[in-house]
Amino acid sequence: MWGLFFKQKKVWVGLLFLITLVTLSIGNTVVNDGEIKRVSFLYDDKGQLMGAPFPPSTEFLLGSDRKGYDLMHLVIEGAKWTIGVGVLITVLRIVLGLIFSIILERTPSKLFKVIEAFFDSFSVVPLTMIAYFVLQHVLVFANGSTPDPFHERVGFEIIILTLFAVPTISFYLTNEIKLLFKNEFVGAARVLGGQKSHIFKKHIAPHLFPIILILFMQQFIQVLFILVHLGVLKVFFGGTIVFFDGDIDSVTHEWTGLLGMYYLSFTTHPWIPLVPIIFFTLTIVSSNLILSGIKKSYEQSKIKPFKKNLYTSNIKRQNKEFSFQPIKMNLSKYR
Amino acid sequence: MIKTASLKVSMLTIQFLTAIVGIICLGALPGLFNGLSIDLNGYLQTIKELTIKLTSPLSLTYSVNHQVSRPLFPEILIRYKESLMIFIGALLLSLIIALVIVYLMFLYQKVNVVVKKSFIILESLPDVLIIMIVQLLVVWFLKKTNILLVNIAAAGDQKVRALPIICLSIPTTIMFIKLLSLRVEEEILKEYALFANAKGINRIGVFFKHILRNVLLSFFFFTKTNIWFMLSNLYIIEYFFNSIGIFIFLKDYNTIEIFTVSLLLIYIPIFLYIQIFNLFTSKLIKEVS
Repeated sequence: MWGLFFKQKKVWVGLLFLITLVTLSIGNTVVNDGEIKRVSFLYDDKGQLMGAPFPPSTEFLLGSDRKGYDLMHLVIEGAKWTIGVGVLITVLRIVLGLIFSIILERTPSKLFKVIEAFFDSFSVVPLTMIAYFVLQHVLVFANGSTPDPFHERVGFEIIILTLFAVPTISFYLTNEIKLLFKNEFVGAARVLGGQKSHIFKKHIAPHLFPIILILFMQQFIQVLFILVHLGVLKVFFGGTIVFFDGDIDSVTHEWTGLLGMYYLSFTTHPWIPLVPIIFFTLTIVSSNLILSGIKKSYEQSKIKPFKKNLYTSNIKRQNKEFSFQPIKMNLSKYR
Repeated sequence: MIKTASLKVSMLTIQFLTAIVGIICLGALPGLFNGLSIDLNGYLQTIKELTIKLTSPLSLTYSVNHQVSRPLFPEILIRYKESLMIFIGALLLSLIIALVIVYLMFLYQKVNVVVKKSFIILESLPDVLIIMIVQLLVVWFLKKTNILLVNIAAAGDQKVRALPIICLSIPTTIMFIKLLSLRVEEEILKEYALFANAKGINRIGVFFKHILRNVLLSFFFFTKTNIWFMLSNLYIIEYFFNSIGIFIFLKDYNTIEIFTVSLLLIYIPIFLYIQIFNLFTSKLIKEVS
């Protein structure tokens, strides 16, 4: 599977983009101490003083925001937060989903149906709506006297975004595991005396792995989408979260904060919200490239042995004998 | 026959009731968190209060700025209707566009290749980016020609429908094209399509008379993922255009009761749709596939 995976160009494009972005971002913190280029005033061609925000130019490759921060620099500094948080939430979702799906696989089918019906609304109602509702309520409480410490708010948000997706993931994985258990080789292993845990480790897990990999990329993309939505709704990671009459600022410079702060002014300064959203899009595109690479190599690895043994050998032999010459037949024995 | 039918109905009612219990538990969640700590007793109390309140829906109220309280019920239905209009409008529009594009893909190999190659990028466009680009285009057009094509955002009680429908239908169309083209490709390979071709029916006839019917039947058997996708886009679109749909209502007055009522309003029709469709067409689908 992996041989074909790394042979595809699109996979390399996606991987290179993500790795460069994260390395640059971490490098900026380590080498540059997280400093961001900032110019509050500039002289234009006629020698007139201009205040921030500056449109994209040679001085600022992607323009600057209203405080004069270089947007290119800001986006790179924020990349590790956004991508890191996305990966963290996705990993938590998958791990929890896998644990629950192994438990759910063993529950009797009637109980399973009831549990599925109980969580059915999760698969229809948008996660953004639920997350916003719950987070906002908690934030209103926290806003009364003193806001909770930074890491607690972030932790809470991560937990919320993880937990609400777990039911859907675990039902999906349960169904996949059930399908895998119906395979003939599982039956053979059972006849030979394999315990359920042995079968799971040796026979189910290798087949489950590519499914989980595909699910991982899909969930990562979904988490990024939700982060964008929450950013627009002014619920940021790491930064100040909705305060009623205070400034909205994102402490960690992560992308959703940039987006949420400036999207209202996008008709006057379109480049400010467009830069983070375009970087979001690029991240999603590269994840999608990797995802389609995984899917392709997974499907190929499934088909391969089947093709070799059954079809090609027969077809080749027939091809050699085929010609447009009229066939000479000895019909005498039929007479 | 009657026995199996009654069994099915009782199963459905059990499913329905548990789903509603689930929604109530979900709606009462803010009671679980006291600040950032967990408060189980408060949660149970909230569930109890919520259930009592929901038993008399007509007496529910919503308050503007914690001062005036107004009855919830006619108001939320008006908002609901607005969201529904946008949802259905976008659904129909994107279905028509998707069908046209899939038909072109079916006829011309070139279109097929181009559309399939651009899928990866098209799929990855976040709805926020699409909304921004559409709004920028309208503003740019207004600046150039002084003609306002469509209203960009609502102010007060004004209704904007055209732009939200267009914005919602763009990602939906992309999703529909993907689903439909996959299904059409599956159907073309089947024997009846081959047979129709062999009889000399032209490609247009094969597509509209034979393939489309089977494709649409399984297409309307909506999966929940598609609805989920459309609804989460709708949420953001309503916020962007400040339209007076149910999601904005929910965001502005987010008390526990209103959240639960709106969840019920959103969930129940979808549940009914899926179950009824399942009941009537499960046989047909089996025949087709």
